[in-house]
Amino acid sequence: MSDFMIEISALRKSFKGNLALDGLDLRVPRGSIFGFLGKNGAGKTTTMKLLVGLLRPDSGAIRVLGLDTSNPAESMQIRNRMGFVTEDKELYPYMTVEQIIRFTRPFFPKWSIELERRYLEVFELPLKRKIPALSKGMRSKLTLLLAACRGAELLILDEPTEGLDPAATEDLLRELVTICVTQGTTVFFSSHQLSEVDQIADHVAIIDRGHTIVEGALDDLKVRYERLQVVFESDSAVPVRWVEGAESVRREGRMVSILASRNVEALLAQARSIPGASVERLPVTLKDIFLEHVRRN
Amino acid sequence: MLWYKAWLETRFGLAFLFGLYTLVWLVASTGARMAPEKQAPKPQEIAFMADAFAFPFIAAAISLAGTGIKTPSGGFQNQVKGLHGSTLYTLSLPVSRQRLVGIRSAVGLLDTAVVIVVFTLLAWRLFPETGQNTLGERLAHLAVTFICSSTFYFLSLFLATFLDGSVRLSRNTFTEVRAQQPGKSSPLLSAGPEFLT
Repeated sequence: MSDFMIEISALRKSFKGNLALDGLDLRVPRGSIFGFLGKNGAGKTTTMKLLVGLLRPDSGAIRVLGLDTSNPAESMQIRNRMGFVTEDKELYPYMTVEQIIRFTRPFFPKWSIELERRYLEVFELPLKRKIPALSKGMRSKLTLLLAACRGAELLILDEPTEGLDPAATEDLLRELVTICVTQGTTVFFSSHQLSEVDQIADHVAIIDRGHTIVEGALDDLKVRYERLQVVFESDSAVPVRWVEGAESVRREGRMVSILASRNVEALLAQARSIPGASVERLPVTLKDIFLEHVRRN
Repeated sequence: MLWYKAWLETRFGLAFLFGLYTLVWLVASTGARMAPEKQAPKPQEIAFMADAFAFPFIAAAISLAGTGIKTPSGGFQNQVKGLHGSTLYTLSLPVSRQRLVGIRSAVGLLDTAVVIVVFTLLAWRLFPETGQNTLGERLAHLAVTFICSSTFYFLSLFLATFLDGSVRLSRNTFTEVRAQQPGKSSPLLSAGPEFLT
């Protein structure tokens, strides 16, 4: 059995000449909570649709749960063992909450009635209410119920917290972690809320213009990067060039902010060698890493 | 459960058609009762009336084909909203595309057959001269009507499924051909022919 739930290599997909994915590589470890990040139009939703078998790639390989998504029989097996929540959370508007649960349940032999009852209670979902009458938050919770109760080994969630209020977001994030911990489910989710990803993800990938620019364990990334904030006595004291290792240098008057990925000690030494410079080492957030890479790319 | 879903999708259309055609039948039967006695219609008039019965059934077939396996909204609301989002939910279920298309087609076709049988019988009752003489002839008439309507049913289903609403025989307007922007986001169109696997 592979250690990776999702393996994507050299994936390309275009729509009428517009390249959406340009040689994307990605590996999602089994049992991880994987944050999939990127700007609007970076290719996140397209990647997710390809994973579920809703689109066919132009080239490249995708294996989900060790199975090939381009093989129809294997694609069906994948859909049987995973849950997918779309970005818009659209469900059948002519059904009630109870009807859509009753409709979905028989497709999944491992459906957990116990979890279904718990979510109905925790999320306070009104069984008899029609889906269009649900608030956006309620609909998000319902889609999570429909995805999680099927006993899925993998959850693919496209912006699961979009449009939710902070309390609902917190509830949903907590449930995602619980699902991962108690059921061993791998959670692969995209989000524009970097603080959420920082809060629950243990692995992340940042994609831009259809290819991966950063990928790895979040802790490793945070250790790999460091931010140095240097304040100089005067503008003229600010060095024009920094030693190798500075991923980005941003200057605001006498203050310089450096994101470093290596050679940190040499950078520190350079800053300290300038008379009157005060140097501070700051922890790096996921937001720092994301913004620096996306801007640079 | 796909049968149940297909029934939920077509039931409003079926109810609407039953309501409309019953109303038409009631008006026609009241008119026939109130009209002064006339001479028996000529054979060509009978043939014309019999042919005219086919048109409502073609409209019914197109209407019940609806949006195919794409999810329409319920009732008589605008069918365009939500067309793609919930279709993605359907396509992410562990069901083959053939089964999805097959079951949705079967339910709509069954509904069409019910409309044809019920209202042809009612039409024969109202205009006995248009009915055929023998049981065999009547069955043949029903079969031909059903086959003709089915052609339009499958054409409508095909357009709705493959062309992403670019050219769709609308259920609300019966025979209107709607020109819409081809949607590049269609999971069916974008997936290519493999969506039927």
